[in-house]
Parts: sequence; structure tokens; C-alpha cells
Amino acid sequence: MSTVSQHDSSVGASLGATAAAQAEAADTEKYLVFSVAQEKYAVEVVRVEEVIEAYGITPVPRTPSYLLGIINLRGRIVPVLCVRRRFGFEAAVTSSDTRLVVLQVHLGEEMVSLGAVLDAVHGVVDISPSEIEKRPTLGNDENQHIAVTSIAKHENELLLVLNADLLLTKEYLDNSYEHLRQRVVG
Amino acid sequence: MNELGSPLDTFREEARELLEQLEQHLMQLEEDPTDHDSIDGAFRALHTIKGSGNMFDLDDLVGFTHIVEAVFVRVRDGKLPVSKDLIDLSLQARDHISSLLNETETGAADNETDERSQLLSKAFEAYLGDEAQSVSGEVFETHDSATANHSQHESEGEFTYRIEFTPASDSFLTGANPLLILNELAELGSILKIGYCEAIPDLKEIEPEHCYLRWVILLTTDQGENAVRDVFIFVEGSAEIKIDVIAEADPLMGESGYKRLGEILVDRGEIDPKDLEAAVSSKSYIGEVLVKKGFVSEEQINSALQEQNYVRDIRENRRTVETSTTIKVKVEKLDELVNLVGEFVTMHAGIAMVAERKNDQDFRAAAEQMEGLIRQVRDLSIELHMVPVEILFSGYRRLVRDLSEDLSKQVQLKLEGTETELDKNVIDSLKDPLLHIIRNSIDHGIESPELRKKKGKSPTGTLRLSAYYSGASVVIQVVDDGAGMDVERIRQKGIERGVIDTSDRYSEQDILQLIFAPGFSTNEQATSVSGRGVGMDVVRRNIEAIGGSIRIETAKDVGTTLSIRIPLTLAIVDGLLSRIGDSLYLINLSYIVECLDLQDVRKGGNGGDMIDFRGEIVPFLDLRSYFGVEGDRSEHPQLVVVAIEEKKIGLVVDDLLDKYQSVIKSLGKVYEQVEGISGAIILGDGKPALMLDIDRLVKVTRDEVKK
Repeated sequence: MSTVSQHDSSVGASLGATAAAQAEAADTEKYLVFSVAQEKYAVEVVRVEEVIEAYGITPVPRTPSYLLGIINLRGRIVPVLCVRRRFGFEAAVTSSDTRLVVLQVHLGEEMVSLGAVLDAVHGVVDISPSEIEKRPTLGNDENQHIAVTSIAKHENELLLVLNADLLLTKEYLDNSYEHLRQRVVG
Repeated sequence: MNELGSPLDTFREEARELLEQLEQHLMQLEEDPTDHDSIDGAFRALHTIKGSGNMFDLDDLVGFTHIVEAVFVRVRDGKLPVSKDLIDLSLQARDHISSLLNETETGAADNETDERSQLLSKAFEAYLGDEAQSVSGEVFETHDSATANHSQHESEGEFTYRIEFTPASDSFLTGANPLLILNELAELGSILKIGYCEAIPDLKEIEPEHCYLRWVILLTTDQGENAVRDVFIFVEGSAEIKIDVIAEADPLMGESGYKRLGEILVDRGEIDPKDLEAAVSSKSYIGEVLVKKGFVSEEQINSALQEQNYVRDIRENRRTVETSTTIKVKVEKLDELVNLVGEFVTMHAGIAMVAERKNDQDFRAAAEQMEGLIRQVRDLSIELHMVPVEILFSGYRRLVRDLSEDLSKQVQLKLEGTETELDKNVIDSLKDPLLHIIRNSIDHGIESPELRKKKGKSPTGTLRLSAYYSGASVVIQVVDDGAGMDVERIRQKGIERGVIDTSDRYSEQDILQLIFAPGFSTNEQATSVSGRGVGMDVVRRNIEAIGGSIRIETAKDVGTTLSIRIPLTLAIVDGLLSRIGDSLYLINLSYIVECLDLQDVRKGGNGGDMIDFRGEIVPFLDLRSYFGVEGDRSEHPQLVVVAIEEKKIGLVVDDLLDKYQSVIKSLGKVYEQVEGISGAIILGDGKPALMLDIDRLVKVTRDEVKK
């Protein structure tokens, strides 16, 4: 085992371990590149537990629409979120490219696994810190931009860098449930 | 990878357990300051922490613990009475040792802890009096030997010596204090001292500077005879000393390995063997006979009896150590085992389903046999995971003590049914809710001593924590004899907040349940202890999360009882699989009263949400619409009648499938706020299904009816 696994045993997939080891050497960080609604995003590989096919999801009733349900990940129950719906887009029909990326995110004080259904996963790239800029604040900071804190210019391509912890915050979740309760009452 | 952990980790773990014990002993001592077992226990805990800590060169920890231990040596030797101040200080010391221990983990030694070490050390030194100098001076010397002592202690080669020690009558004049010698002997091992006062003359003849005493000392130690003799080195010339080995650590020695009373007396030369013979033949209690005949004094008999008991006890202790067959297992490992067994059960359910479908006789028989076996493994693994509720309860002693002090109240904590066993995970999840409830009871329930006196109650309030089995559940009660809850005030508050209306259709229980609503508090003055009603909603959520329910009974000026009912085990549930739309849901079998065809029972005509269930009008809930499931309804919807505490409702599902046994898994934080679902299971094909939260559904349905 490499030294990485001692730092962060949650990185189970060999993908994460080797990637982080290389990144250490080159002073760059590994990012997983994926797309949602025609835009390309990048998320730190250390946050990625695994990438799987998006099926076997059991819906949970009376929950916000962006929550798709739960999956069984080798005996563990993992909640699944639809990134499209979370970002305010129409849900897409599942295609052969659709993937479920299991991320490690902070929710309140806990670290939880969260499945994120995306349109496609493109692979892993090395991005050096110099390629990353803080995202300029725009007037209409809605939906998807909430979780995007910076932008990476990598090989002539713009990647929206996703802050995994902001994909689903406790406040956002609480608000959604509150809305739901009011709608049920009304 | 790191499963075994370093020796230092093991030490820390053990030290934390010892600190836990220390606290228990201290709390016990507060109740009964003369309880020798607790004094010894406290001393032993400190001694072991010090001794083992020394092996890791944890100087700060060892040095501090040593001073505390030294004070307890004085307590043990009866030189220092246990006072409330001492208990206070010792509890602080316990906490401090705990933080020193944490420092060994984080490696950060900060000045604040140093200062605290010094402050507390000073306070303890005050208890040492003259000994303070020598104690802090010789820290390292003494605990080196203590460590050596400790590590060899349970190994082998222990002897029990009988030491007869008669100091010279002028020994007080020569400065040879026999007490110091006795204390030094006590350092060598476990000891029984029997003093003889027979030589003390009448008061008018007494010479105050003479020593009239002699002792018979029984010492069990792993040290050789020379080490024992060394203790007497300064009095050898003047005192009479006789040292005999009376018991060896011989595992082959049989049950009756200790000597008879008469033999002991002969050994000591206190009786002539011939006289003994004569006494034995008279067939009465030998001790009585010997005293009656004037062969020996009563004191000598008592002394011999004590020796007999002592040797027997030492033997028995040794035997229990040798035959002890418990092993320490890490909780995580047990957790893993229970989880794996759960997986096993789930997987078997899948196999059984396939066997059923294939309709292969042999396959089915094999699957059935396997089920029997799995059930045994399951029961066993669940049993392994059960711990007595005492672990939970006794943890609150300190809280009750500190809290009542802070609030200037007098509270006595009583624990009942502490042997009741519960799943370790349940115990863990009960910790915070109970803490909250206890806080509330002391803060709001139990009155100040003055007020209690005015009401004609004892100034000391009683808080009772009890646990007992009740069917497939365990009930945990927190009972106080305080002021009780003001039901009318809670009702008014409920009306004010629009949670209930002014009609009188709410039962007292309904109203009392309001205190569990978020942000509901009738206490106008917030205190730092229990805040303003924040928390009771969390309490209920936590308890419901483990499948429990909570009830309140209260009477003005008599007190309040909070009863928490929790299932015996959460790990695995027998349920009935039912279908709603495309999804499967599990209903806990223990709540199901009966399953019926909806058509057969539905009250025709007004189309209300009621059914006639065996003459009882029962509300029902259509889960399809409650869960917002689309698509066509089943032609023969089924009605499952469930009940919680006699409250029945019907649940309408599309279809009923099969009995299913499964591990219940938490839905996690994301789905914490979902209504009507309490967890998930994994089906035979690996797909998750949901578990219905019957408690919630009953509440929702019945509330709906009221409106």
C-alpha cells in the first residue's frame, strides 16, 4: 500500500490512490472530468469513491425531486442525487453514458457518501494550481453556480470546478424539506 | 493495516477504562465514604495507570498520578478520611488525568495543562501533610518498583507468609515505629494485619511510652523471604520476628488446600497438639471448645480464623484468575460481525426466494436447513452485542452530581435494573437523549431544597433510572419526584402556537407529547443547563430513529415519569414485504395485527377513511396517495392493520408478498427528515427496499382523523 491510504483510507478505489500519489509528485491535483447539461465540470479525485453505472436506484417517497433515492453499494445504503435537477435543469433520459459518481462530502458535521448521477464521465486530468482561478461572481448566481467556486483553464478548455461539499448542504436540504412540508399542508 | 494498535494505544485504551472505574469508585465513596472496596478500587486504578504510564515514559502523567495515588495510600491506610472535598478534588484529578492522557495522543503539551497539574498537585499535597516532601521527592524511585511489582503480580511464584511481629516494648523510644514497618510490608503485596491487644495492661498501670502490641501479619507477595526480612532490618535486634511460609502458589493444590483451624494454632505454637486432640474429640465447634477449656484466648482463635479465611480468599482469587475465560474484543470487530451476519441473513433470504421459484425439492430443503443454522448464528451474534444498561446508567452519576451542585439542588440518583441488557448500538444512541431528559428533570423537575420543604417533601429529591424487559422491548424510565409538569400551561402554550385548538378532544398524553415539538418550551426563563425547550424534539427524533417511543406521565408535586420503549434489538427485523406501485416496502411483523382484503372491510356509503375492524372503527391510510405513487391501482388492494400501544390503523397497499427477515440499515443524514420511512433493507437481488415507519404513520393517520 502506498502512503496515500494512510492519509485517507476513504479513498478505496485504486483510481484515487494512484492518482493522488502521482499528484503529490508533480505538485498538481487530479480531477475527475464530467459533463452535466452540455457543460464540463471537474471535481477533485480524492473526493471520488467510485464511478458506477446508474441503475438499481430505489426511489424514496416524500423527498425533494432532486433526490433520486438510494442504492446498495456493497451492503451500504448510499443516497443518490440527480445533478441536473439539483442544478435546475430538466432531468435527462438515462443513456449509456450516464454515470453515478459516489462522492465523499461533508453534510453538517458528518462525512457521508453521496451518489451523483451525471450525463457522462470523461476521465481524470492533472490540473496545477496555477490553472485554477476563482470564479467571478455574476449577477444571476443560481443553481449550478452555487457549487462551483472556481474555474480551471486546462488545455484550452474551461472546466467548472465543483466543490463537492456544496453540492448538497444541510441548509439547502433543510429548506427543501421545509418547502415540501408546506406544499403537502397547502 | 493498523489493527493491532501500538502498545501505547493499548495503554491509553486501558487507562481510559481505569479512569472510568475510578470515577465509579469515587461516586460510590461519596455515598459511603468508608467503603473499603471502593477505596481499594480507586487506589488500584491510579496505581495501574501510574505503573503502566511509567513504561512509556509519560512523565507528566505519571508524576501527577503518583501524587494522587499517594493521597489514596493514606486513605487506604486509614490515615485520611474520605471527605467531600477530597472527592471533589479527586474527580477533578480524574478529569485532568484524562486530559493528560489525551495529550499523549495529540502530542501537544500546553502550558494550561501544566499549570493545572501544578495547581491540583498542590491541592493534593495538602492532604499528604508531612509526607508531601518525601512523596514528590521519590516519585521515580517508587514507581519503578511499583511497575515491577505490577508486571510480575499475576505471573507466578506467589507466597503467603505468616509473620509474627512483637516489637520491643521500648521501641517507641528508639524511634522504631511499628506502623512504618507494617506499611512497608503492605507495599510488598496484599496483606492482612491482625493486632493483638492482650498484653495491654489496665489503664492505671499503662506506661504511655511502652509498646504493648504484637501483630500477626499475613502477606501474599511474589517477593522472597529475604525481601520480607529486609523490612525488619532496623528492629531485628530488639523485636521478636518469626516468618513462616503458610501457602505457596501451587496450582496442583486441591480445594481443601488451606489448613484447619487447629492446625493453624499448632503451627503458631499457640496450642499443644495434645490439647487439640482432646478438643477435636469433643465434637463441638473446635474454637469454642478450645476457648472454654482455656487452651487459647478468644483473640487467638479469631486471629487463626482470619488467617484461614485469608488463605482461602487468596486461593479463590487465584483460581478465578486462572479459570477466567473471557476475551476482550474490540467493539468494531463485533459491529463488523453483526453486520456480516446481517448480510448473511439477507443473502439467505435471496437464496430462499430462488429456491422457492425453482421449486427444486433438494434445493429447498438445503435452504431450509441453512435457515435454522443462520438463525442460531444470528442469535448468538446479537447476544455478543448486548451489554448491560449499567454502562449507560452509571455514566450519569457524575452528571447528576455536578448538575445538582450547580443548581444548588439536592438530588439522589437511584439505579434499577442495571443488569438489563441492550444492543450496544442502542445504548450508544440512548446516551444523548437520556442526558437531555436527566438534565431537564433536575433543572425543571426537582425543586430547590427550600421549596421541597415547604411542600412537605424531603429536601433531597430522588431521580430514578430504571430498566426492565417488557415483551420484545426494553423500557427505560427516568422518574423524578419533583414538581411535575403543568399540563394546563402546556395546553395554553399549544393553543397560543396554533398547534392545537381550544376544543377538549385532546387527551392529557396528546398534550404532553407537545413538549417534543420543535422549539416548544413553557419555561420562560432559559437556563444554561437545559436551555429553552431546544432538544426535546431532538430527543424524540433520536429515540424514534432506533425504533423507540416515548411516553410521559406526570402529576403535580408528585413528579414526572418518562418511559422510553425500545425494541430489544435493532439489528434484524422480521417483516412482511408489501408492494406499492413498483416499490417494495417492509412492514415490521411485530406491529401487524391482521391482513385483510380491503373490499371486505371497507364501510360502504359515505366513503370515509374508516373501516369496521371487528366492531372497532379504525382509520386507514392509503399509502399510494400518501407516497404520491402514480400508475394503476391494484384490483385487490390489501389492508394491513397495525397497532402501536393499542392504537390501530389500517395501511392500504397494492399487494402482500412474503415474510422477509432482514437487517435494517439507516437511510443516513440525507433522508433523516423523510416521513413514514424508518430505514432500508437490501433484498435478495441486491436492490434496496424501504422500511415503513409504523410509529409515524399511526400518528399521522390519527392526527388526520382528529382534524
